[in-house]
Amino acid sequence: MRALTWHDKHDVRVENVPDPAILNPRDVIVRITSTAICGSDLHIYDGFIPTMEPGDILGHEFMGEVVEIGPGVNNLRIGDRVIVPFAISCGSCFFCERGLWSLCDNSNPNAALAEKMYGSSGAGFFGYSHLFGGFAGGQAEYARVPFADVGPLKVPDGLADEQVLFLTDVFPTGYMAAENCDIQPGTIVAVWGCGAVGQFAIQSAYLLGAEKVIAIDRFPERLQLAAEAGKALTINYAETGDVVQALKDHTGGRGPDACIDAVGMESHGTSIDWWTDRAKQAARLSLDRAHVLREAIQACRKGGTLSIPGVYAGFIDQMPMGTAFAKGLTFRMGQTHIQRYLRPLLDRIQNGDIDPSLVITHRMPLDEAPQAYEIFRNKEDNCIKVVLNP
Amino acid sequence: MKEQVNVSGTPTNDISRRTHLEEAGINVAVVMEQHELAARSHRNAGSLITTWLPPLGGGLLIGFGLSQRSLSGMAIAAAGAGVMYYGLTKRMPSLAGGVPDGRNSIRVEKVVTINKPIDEVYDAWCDATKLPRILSHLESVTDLGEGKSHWVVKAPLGGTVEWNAETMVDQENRVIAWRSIGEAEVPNIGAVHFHEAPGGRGTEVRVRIEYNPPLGPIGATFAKLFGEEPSQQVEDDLRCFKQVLETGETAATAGQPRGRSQTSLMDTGLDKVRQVVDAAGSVFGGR
Repeated sequence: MRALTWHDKHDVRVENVPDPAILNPRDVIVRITSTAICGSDLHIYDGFIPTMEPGDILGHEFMGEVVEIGPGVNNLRIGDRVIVPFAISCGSCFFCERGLWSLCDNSNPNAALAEKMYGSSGAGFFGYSHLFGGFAGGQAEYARVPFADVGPLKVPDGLADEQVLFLTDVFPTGYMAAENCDIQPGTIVAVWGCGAVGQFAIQSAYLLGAEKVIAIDRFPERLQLAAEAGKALTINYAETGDVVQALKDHTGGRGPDACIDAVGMESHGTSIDWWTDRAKQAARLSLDRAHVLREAIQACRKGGTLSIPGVYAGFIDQMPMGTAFAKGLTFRMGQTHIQRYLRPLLDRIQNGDIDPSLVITHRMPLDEAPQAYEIFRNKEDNCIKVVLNP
Repeated sequence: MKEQVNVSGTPTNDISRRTHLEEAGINVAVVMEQHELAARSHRNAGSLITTWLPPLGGGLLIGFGLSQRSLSGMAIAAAGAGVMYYGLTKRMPSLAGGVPDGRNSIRVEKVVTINKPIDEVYDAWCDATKLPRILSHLESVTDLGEGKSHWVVKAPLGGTVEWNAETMVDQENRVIAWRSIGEAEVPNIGAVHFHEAPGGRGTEVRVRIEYNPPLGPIGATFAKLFGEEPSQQVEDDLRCFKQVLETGETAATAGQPRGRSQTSLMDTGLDKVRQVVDAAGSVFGGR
């Protein structure tokens, strides 16, 4: 089959690789019909995710048709159309039983490695380094899906791929970020980063009853989408400069009740802390740049909540812990528990509450995936979200 | 030299050691006295040649072995390490005997919580002859009857280590303890304890093993390099045991597709990563 493989920083290739096979009783094989590039794939592309090996197949946002079924899977049939959550979850450990699907105890074959790095291991992810399991990803013609009796969701007839594809990651990720804001009547939410996760966080915050959502970015096309599709008030930090002051101005001097960091470890800024982060990251002294996190802590109102769907991988410096403590902030973060949101969000799509396909700006064949990565990474051609069709 | 391996992070001390051994029904004092006598008679027999030749020769072997940069070179280096160890300590690296000597033994302790009721976990462990299907480092367990069994475990470079064991304690849903008997290559004693975790969190399974490594602490380090060291084996196998009980299978990726890599094989790359993460872990994790 054809698959997109990682070889080095900014070196991904489409090549012929063997077809996947059933390895465990609870596996299925899916023939992929649509697959997307995630912002978190760019962390790999930019060389910031450790334990990648040349030849690893990328991709964790994919859907398709079941073509082969392991003997332990009874709830799927050949020909079923399914979307596949990016995190692999067993469904029977302490964490899965409590809905903490992305913290599954049993799906990472390299759990010992993750334990050494993070103290304990969460779930394995498709196409996201050996630290998170070393599973072959879904930017390919076929993929093996472990624990397929638990993860995949059958897609009802009448819904196109593009309407449901983002249930695999970015839509639930934006939704969980908004849910983590504990939205009450009158809540004002600020969202840093207007990529796909940011866009879904904005729309989800309104779905959950937010009074107002303020979106922060520097790319006009992303701010425009946030304003038009998301009804957000927008701040272009490249023009405004002092984001904290601008947020105070928009919130009667209180600061946003909740702040969402939908940017993560590769944040961009204009202030001195961003430049020192950048230098440390370039020298491999640090994996993460935390400019957005610091700014959000500074901006958030007293007693407010910081919701962090943006990915962090290692250590951050100059964490304004004193500010967070003095303001009594609550931090909520982590990988999304996709399975928890699949059915409720599918209902939202079917009801017409939200059309996830609005974030798609590029549709390309799988063979052009290397160009797609380049365009997406450099935000060329107003790129927000790329869908690949094998 | 007493080396203790304790993965749960709590420092071991003599009280916990005594408790552990007493739980397994071993009289430590007697065992230690016997070995101290043997060691003293070795030391008294030293001359200039027997004192300095082995460490010197061992050092040369290590140097030669390491310079080969190959598996056989590593084996030569390890043999050299054994000779050197003997030369410096006047102890035979491998102590034949039924139970580990209290001074040179290595302790391994690992614990895992399994999201299943205690009786189910105990029953699964009890049927030792079926364990090799779950535990990848275990080649076979043969029931010899009358509480005795024969164990074959993987060793570095594709070798195996075998011994006969007898069950010393078996209390349903609480504890199973065993020790090696006869001329064991790796004298060992061990126990597995089962505790109900609080608030419906399943069952805590705690494995403690004490063994005398072939070639002493140097042999233990050598085994660690090849991923067949008991501390790693117990950790890996407990994880497999948990996975099989909770999900019916073990998480796997071996055999899945990948692209052509011109620079490195996945395994060697992963080893490199492990070394780096190990180093980072010891710096940041305070282990």
